[in-house]
Amino acid sequence: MTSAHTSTRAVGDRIKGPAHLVTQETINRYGELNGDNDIVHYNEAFARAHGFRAPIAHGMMVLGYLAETLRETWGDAWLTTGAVDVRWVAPVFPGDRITPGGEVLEAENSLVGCHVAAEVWCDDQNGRRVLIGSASVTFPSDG
Amino acid sequence: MTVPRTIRLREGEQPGAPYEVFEPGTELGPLEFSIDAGTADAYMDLHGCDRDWYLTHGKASKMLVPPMVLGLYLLPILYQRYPPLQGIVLTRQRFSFLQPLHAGEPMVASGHVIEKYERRGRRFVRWSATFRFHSGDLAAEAENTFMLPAEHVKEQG
Repeated sequence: MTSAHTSTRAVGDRIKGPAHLVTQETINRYGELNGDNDIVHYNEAFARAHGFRAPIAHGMMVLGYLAETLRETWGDAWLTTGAVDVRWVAPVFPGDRITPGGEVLEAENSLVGCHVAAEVWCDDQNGRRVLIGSASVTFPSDG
Repeated sequence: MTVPRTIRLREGEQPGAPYEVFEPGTELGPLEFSIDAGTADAYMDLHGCDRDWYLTHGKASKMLVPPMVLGLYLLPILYQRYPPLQGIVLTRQRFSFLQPLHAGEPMVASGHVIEKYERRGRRFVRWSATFRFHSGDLAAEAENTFMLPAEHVKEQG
C-alpha cells in the first residue's frame, strides 16, 4: 500500500465529507446489517417513551459516515494507524442530513512519521452537532 | 464468513441484562468470526464508500473492507454475556485500527467490562474489546459506553 494522501495534515486544515440523508429505510438497512432488533430504531411509540420524537438512527451508522470521510481524507494510513474517540451528543432522526467535518489541531513530526490529530464532528442540516470527538492518524516518514 | 445477526443475541428475544448484573472486570468473549463480504459490501453501499479505492488497495485475493465494519461485530461480544435490553443508547465510542481488514479473514474478539456508573439518574456501562487475527496479531481495539434504558420503560416492547 502507498500513502497517496498528503493533504489535510497541517494545523488548521479542514475536513469535510459529503452529506448523508438518513431515512427510516437507511436505519432499517443498518439494522439488517448489524442484526439489531432494538425497537428504539423502528418503533415510534417506544422511541417517544424514551424521550425521542421519533425512532433514532444507530450511532454506529452515523460514526460510519465520519469514519469513511477520515479514510477519504487520510488514505491508507487510516487503516493501520487511525483512531477515533467520539461521543454522540444528539439523536439523529429520519429526515436528517448528516455531514461529517473536522479541523486538524496538531501535526507533529517524529522519527516514525507525522502524527496528525483533529477535532471531528457530524452536523445535521440545521448545523446542530450530533457527534463530537477527536481522530488521529500517523503518516509514515518519507525516509 | 460471519453475518453479524447470526452471532448477535437480539433485543426482545430473551430477557435483557439489567444494570445490576453488569460486573466490572468480567471477561467477554472470545468470539470467533470473519467479516462477511456481502455484509461489508452492503455497508459500503449504505455509507457511500469508494469501492474502487478499496479494490485497488486490498490483497489480490481478498476484499479490503472499511475498518468501521468492525462496528457491526462489536456489540455481539458484549451481548454473548449480557443479552441486550430494548432501548440501549450508545453514548461514546473509541476505535483504534492497527491492521488492514479483509473479508473472510478469521478473527477473534474479546473484551472486558471496565466500569458501570450512574450520572444524573442515568445508568452507564463502559467496556473494551480487542480484535485479533488468528496469528494473535492485534488488528483493532475498541471501547464503548452505553446508557441503559430508564427503569420505567425498559420492560416495554
